[in-house]
Amino acid sequence: MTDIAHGGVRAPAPEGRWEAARTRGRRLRDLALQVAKSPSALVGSIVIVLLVGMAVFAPLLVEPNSPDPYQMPRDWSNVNAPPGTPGHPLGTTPDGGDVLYGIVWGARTSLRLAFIVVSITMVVGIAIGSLAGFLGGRWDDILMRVVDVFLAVPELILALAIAAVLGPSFRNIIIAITILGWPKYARIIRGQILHIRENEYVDAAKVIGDSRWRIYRKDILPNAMTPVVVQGTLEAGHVVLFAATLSFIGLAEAGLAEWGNLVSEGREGIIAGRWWVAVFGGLMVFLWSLSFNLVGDGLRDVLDPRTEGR
Amino acid sequence: MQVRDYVVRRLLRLPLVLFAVTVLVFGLSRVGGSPIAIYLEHDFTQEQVEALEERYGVDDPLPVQYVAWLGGVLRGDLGWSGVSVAPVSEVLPARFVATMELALYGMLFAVLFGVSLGTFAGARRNRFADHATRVLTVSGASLPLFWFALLMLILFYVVVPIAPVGRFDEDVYSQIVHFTGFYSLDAVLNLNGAALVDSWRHLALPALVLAFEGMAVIARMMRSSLVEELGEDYVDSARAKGLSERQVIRRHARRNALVPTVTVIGLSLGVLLQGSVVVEIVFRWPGLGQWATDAVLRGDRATVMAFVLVTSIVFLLVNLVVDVVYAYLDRRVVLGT
Amino acid sequence: MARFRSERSRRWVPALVLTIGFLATACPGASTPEGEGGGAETGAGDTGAEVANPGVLIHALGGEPEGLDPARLDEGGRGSRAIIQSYEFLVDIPPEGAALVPGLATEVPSQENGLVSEDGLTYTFPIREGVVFHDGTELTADDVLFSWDRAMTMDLPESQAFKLSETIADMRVVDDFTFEVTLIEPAALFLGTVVYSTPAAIVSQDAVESNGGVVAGEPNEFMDTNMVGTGPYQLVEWERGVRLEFEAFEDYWNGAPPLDATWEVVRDNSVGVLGMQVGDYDIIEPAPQFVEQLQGDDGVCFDESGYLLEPLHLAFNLDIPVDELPDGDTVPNDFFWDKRVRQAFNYAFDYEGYINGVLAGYGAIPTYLAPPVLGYDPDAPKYAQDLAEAERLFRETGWWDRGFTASVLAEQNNDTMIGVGLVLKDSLESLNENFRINVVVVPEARYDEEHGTVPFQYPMWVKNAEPFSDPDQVMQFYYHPDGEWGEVLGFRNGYEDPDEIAARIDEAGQSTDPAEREAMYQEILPLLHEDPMWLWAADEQNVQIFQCWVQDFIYNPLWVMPRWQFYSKG
Repeated sequence: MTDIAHGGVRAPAPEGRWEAARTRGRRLRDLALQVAKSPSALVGSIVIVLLVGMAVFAPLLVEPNSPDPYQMPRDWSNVNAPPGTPGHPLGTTPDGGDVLYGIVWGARTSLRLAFIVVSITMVVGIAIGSLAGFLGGRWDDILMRVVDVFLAVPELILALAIAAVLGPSFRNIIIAITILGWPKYARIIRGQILHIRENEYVDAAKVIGDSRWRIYRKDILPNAMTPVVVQGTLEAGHVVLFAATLSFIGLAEAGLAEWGNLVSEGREGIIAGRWWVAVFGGLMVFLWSLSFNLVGDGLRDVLDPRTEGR
Repeated sequence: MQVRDYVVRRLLRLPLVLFAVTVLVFGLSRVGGSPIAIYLEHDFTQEQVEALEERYGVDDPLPVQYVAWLGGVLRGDLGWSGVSVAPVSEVLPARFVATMELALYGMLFAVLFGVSLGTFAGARRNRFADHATRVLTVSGASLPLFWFALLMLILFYVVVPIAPVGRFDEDVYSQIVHFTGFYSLDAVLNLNGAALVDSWRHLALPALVLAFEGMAVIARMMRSSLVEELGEDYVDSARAKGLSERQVIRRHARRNALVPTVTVIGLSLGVLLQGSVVVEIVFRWPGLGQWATDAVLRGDRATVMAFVLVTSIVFLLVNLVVDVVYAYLDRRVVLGT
Repeated sequence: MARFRSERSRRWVPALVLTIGFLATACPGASTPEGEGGGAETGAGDTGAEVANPGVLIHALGGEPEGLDPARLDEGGRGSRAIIQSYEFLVDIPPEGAALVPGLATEVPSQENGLVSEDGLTYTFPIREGVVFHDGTELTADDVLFSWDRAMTMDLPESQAFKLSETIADMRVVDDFTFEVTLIEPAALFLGTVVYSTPAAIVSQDAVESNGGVVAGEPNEFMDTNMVGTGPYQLVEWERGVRLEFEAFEDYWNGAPPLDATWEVVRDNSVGVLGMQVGDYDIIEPAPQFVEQLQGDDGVCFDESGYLLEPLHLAFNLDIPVDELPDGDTVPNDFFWDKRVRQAFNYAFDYEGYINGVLAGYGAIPTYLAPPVLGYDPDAPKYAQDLAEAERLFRETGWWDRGFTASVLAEQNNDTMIGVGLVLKDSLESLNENFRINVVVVPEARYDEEHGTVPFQYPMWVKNAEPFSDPDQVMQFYYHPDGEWGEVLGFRNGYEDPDEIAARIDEAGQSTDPAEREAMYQEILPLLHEDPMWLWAADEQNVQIFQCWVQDFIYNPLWVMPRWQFYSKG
């Protein structure tokens, strides 16, 4: 990938450490207020709340299937039923799976996916990027070359290859996306660290005699986090979209209550007039992805000084 | 640092990264399942499987296999494609060209619409038009491409049947001499209007669908860099001099705003190449997309390796070109950090 | 700002014009869907008024051959579909019935016409004269010997060459038009299952020898990608992933077929159906759930004769390697030994649900032998869902309270097979909370590999059966305790009296009297029902779908696909 495009965002440096903390708290509040000012970000937030709510309260909204709640209940006497069929308000899949169930529990699946992937990739990416930025020199070179390799291959292709050799299952899709997701964070945080290191207060801290770890934890990390948070928000939307794409291509698990799987199961039927399975499934992916993008955008606008005061 | 030195350094790095990429994928394809899986049939006994493994040299240690593969590549032998029942090198070029043609047209649309939209929005910062454009571009970035493609397919194939499927009409296609493999280009070289129109007919819908995502990314970048440019001092002084807003934008701001946008344009080719996988599947475009996903799902190692190799090379070269262009355009940038 | 706005709109213009221009080029005429890569424009409506693509029969199939060499292909793949259009065998299966007729041999050898020796070991085939290969060379007995010898010499593990090498002791060319084969031991199945089988297809010796020859243990790239046979169709061009173009072979010995043919690769069921509706394709084979869509179409005709000979089934593993099972499986090594457990599974399965749901009604509960096959008995006992009985059996064997978790291996992208697993899962899980069935779906390549592993590492698998035309093949393959699956799946652990079963099957196989054999099989079937080694889910109905303008459509389920030479259009 290009060096330039991954230059990272610069954050203004506060004066002292105490000032930094107070400013940070104030900034968080300001942040929330500023984000709320943008109508698109506000809409995004509302949709996120709705979707996450649907995910969390799924067992209350729709009776969980047994024994595995993440499998859509199948009604073999009612396959390919259109919306409005008694017992199946949104219709059924070619296997008789209830689409409404798939939508509601699919939100839960997506939440799980996004949570697991984003947390792991963030932690790993920050760790590796920090190592590179902090240690510098040869380590930096090596680690960044590794990052380069991951970013050199189109992520879709690599994900396909990984998930295909592991077998078609949701768990393997998660693994594949996680393996490919950490480099972005590594790059961001490394860039941030390199920049912040050059600031005075860090030198001042060194003079005082603070250990490197304390400097890292108290000064560098918190200020380097802002673009990481933005990226994380955007990724929460992106990974669900990415997983849905992998499902669509053919790595979906049979009968799983997951939006991408719905599109995959409903794909062939579309031209036959059976639009509901793929359309509803795809719509949910779109809403999820859109809302996180809007909020992430809103965050980025607020946090990016280049566009501050717009 | 000189641009030339920068280019040289990047070029030297390229094979190294490529090597690492191929090792990674080569190793992956061995991790799960057998690399000769494509040749296996349902009822093989253990002995039959072992005989096959021996024939294809799977018994050798992994590094030996890798070197053998690499040697073949350098000689132009990319192995046998199980999904196509033919040598990879025979099938790859046509597929590659088909994808590249689609991607390039997609790029063309993405750039045209993206830049226009971005300028449009940037000049109307924070007004309704800007917000509306933002919704559009964010939608473009959030839209599941496979879903969008499917919807467009229904719309223009079933509901309003105007779109043809596939890459060309056999009768027209066979009339021209194929110099390059790029249908539209060859049509021009043949001075054959019907062929050119035919190529466009088939490219139209898939390219537009493909462009949607790229357009969103480019528009967004264009908008923000235009806004930034309009905030610069020289713009104020230009306005003070009496130039109209239009002239300010057209003569100065836009050109400067294009500079960072160039990087995004380059990146979007990567987005498009990935997106083409899905679009090709939906529109039955005979490119790398269907071929490669088939190979991945059926365990055709040779095809997968070739595909990854080719796409990675294109990616890396494009990014290199973009970085160089950017460096050339904006010498304020510190190279190589 | 007025000026500003007009300037904005001017910037839009070039982009818009270009796009509209682009889209406009897509408009002219009634654009109709074309095959991937390209295809002829058709203006035909679906009322059958005008025949589309006259002179060419276009058959849309869901994939392409994995190869074209008879000495290399496995039965059941798409390669064998190409084989029957371009290659021929010494005997043939006619459009109707299961009785063999002469093919490249002028007579079907039998004891009656004296072409089979009294001891049943020697077969003499008089070879047809005046038959020409696609490369112009003439067919002689040498080509026959060469073809069979070639398959056996190459002896590729993925091939069916073993069919020849395990039955034939010796072959010789008596003269230019007489070919003699001596078997290792008498076999009633020789003609139907060896002579009429992929590795026994007759290829042109000249063509092979000029293109790589015969090398033991090595495939031949030329033969993998070309076909040089005596059949009515000659392969002209193979555009990978798009289509295979065949031309009517002018010098075909039985008269050139009326139409050329194209095998159009159409992976998407829905695209195939659409193509049918607009007249782009003449014959298609969509998945059962898409058949319905074409029902209302006047121009589309159906041939719903009979069933495919490949019943969908579930295998019970009686040799479960407990340590190598997927995580979570709790079944012990002897889980399926007790026939009551296997019966219980057979009673629990929701056959109706499967047939109506997955097969959209195009199927039936299978019989042990398919209708055209000798020994078929419509009154033979079959299982139907009986949940009460299933429960009783599970209680009796103690599993009702204990519960179990077992996996079923299924192949990806194969909805009919995955469907069997899912229906079993739903049937058992709704019967008893303690029962868990996991349907493990793996990519095709992985499935093939796992399937061939001994011992098999899952408790069950789903597959469709091999299309055998002779009952002894079915019996040996699927029921004999020491047969192909008998050994791998450990049937001896399960059969109450394995030796009796073995003896009865062998006896029926060796007899050469059809009436006697039929009676024997009718006695065997109830025994197999009582002690089931499989769960037979369904027989898929054989629905051939074609444009009504295709004349003389006829299809024998013993063929692997419709044979184009018999059809015309108009």
